[in-house]
Amino acid sequence: MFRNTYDGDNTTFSPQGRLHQVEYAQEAVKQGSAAVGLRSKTHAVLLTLKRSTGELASYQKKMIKIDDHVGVAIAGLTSDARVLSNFMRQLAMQSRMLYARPIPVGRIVQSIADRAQANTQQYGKRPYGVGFLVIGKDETGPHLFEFSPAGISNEYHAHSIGARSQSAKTYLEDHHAEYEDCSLDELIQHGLSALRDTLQQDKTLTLKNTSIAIIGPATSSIPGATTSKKANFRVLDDEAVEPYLREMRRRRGEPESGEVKEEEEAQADAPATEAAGDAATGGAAPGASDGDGDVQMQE
Amino acid sequence: MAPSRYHNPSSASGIVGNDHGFYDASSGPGGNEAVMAGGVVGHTQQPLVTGTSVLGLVFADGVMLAADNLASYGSLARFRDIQRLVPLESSKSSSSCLAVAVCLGVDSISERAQALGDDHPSLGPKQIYEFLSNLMYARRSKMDPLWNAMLLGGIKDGESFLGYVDLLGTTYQAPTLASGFGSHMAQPLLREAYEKRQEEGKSGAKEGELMSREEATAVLEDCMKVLYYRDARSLNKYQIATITAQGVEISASKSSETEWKFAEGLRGYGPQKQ
Repeated sequence: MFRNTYDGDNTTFSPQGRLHQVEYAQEAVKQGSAAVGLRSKTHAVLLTLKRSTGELASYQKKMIKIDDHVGVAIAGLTSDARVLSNFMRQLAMQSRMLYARPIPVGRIVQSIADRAQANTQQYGKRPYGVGFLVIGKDETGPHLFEFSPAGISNEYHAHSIGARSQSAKTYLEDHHAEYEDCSLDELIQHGLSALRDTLQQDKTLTLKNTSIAIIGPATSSIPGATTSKKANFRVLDDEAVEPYLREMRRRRGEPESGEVKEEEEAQADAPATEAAGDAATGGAAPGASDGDGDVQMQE
Repeated sequence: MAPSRYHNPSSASGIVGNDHGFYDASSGPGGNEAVMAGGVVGHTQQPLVTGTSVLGLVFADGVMLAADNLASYGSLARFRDIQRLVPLESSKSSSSCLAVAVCLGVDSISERAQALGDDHPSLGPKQIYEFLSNLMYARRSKMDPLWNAMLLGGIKDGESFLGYVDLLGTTYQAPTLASGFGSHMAQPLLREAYEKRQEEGKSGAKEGELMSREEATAVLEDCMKVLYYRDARSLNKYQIATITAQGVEISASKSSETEWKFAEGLRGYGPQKQ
């Protein structure tokens, strides 16, 4: 799918002053499934939409813990993400060894950005095909950063990356004034609402395809939600996510138990089967979701 | 710092050159001594230019460090205007200062520490101390020690810090510290003053259990004077660094009043006849 003659390597500018290889790398991020991040004065959260390649496959992990105080959500090439997160883990341990302190979040993000930038400028290298949302806390409080394969890192109050992330961004922008003083529960609900907006028409958030990562002490008023006194990075998957999804449905006036379960039960009924099966798995069966631009290699 | 035959400037630049701040013998344009000696690994080193004792004392508002201005070349008082107190950083939350006993590679160490004070949260004294001890121990493990003994004083979030690191990577922390000759001559004096003040504070004779700025200065000046009398490698010209929450303040060089008339009556060595 070559667009022109100036995208053969990443060191050649196009006459418009653009580096096409770098832009293609950013395209890889856009093809990955969505990730949303928000930050308040006390907490930072990440919410991601997991994909599976089919009904027989498990859902691809989207969150990676780096250290007790830092974690990332990925969108793009999972294998590139593993290389970068490995590097981040090394940096985190190095900081603990050498300076006896957890690495400042801004510094670790800057380090991978610098590394990614070098790949956009050297002949024979390729940019990373992955974007991160990084949450973490340090002595200056909780933080949310975006890392992009162009070698750019920015700090955000709320941000989203990945497929259809513009819809999530629209939601996040509409409510931007609220996050700073949010409780953890509120922050997660905002996140779920934003994540929900990235879904295709016939899809819903389920406990299988949603994961939530939290930084900051967990005190929740939602029944069944996990609480922890520690403020460390932790990921909620499967059953642990359900209380939050329930709460989301309750607020939206939908049946709290969730349509998914009903639909799963209804799978015996012939007419409902197709749509329901798709919704339950988050449906990224090859060929079934070309509208989303899913590529199997990605996540 | 003063030049030394055994440490050319290029080996000093090796310290800041690599990722972790550790010395990399293979880097640096000039190569190190081992390379210059035709591939023979030169293990032992001796410092040619040396400084003498440094002192440290925790007081009510922070920490004080003292060191004289001399860098000796053997027994020759070669460089008489060397500042051996190195302010490392002072930010809103923390400030640190380094006192160095022997002058090697310290410029690069402090440069390295400065470089870490960018707009990310800066290193507190405890973190700088950890870095220094790792650096010193790594170098001694390569049989290429940084021939030095250092006191690091600092304050962060109202908490004072005073620690010692030397060329072997030996570390310890105490409210009063002294390196070299000072650990024999000055440390007992510092401890005595410190403990006396603690007692006075406990019994209510004086407010607080730590010395005031004036008291601490007086004790350090007294110690520097004793060291000048007894330590042949010292100079009656010294500076005191005061590290408080407000930052690092390094005094101008000062001298102690000394009295040498008693020397006339000394017998047993020197030029006099019995």
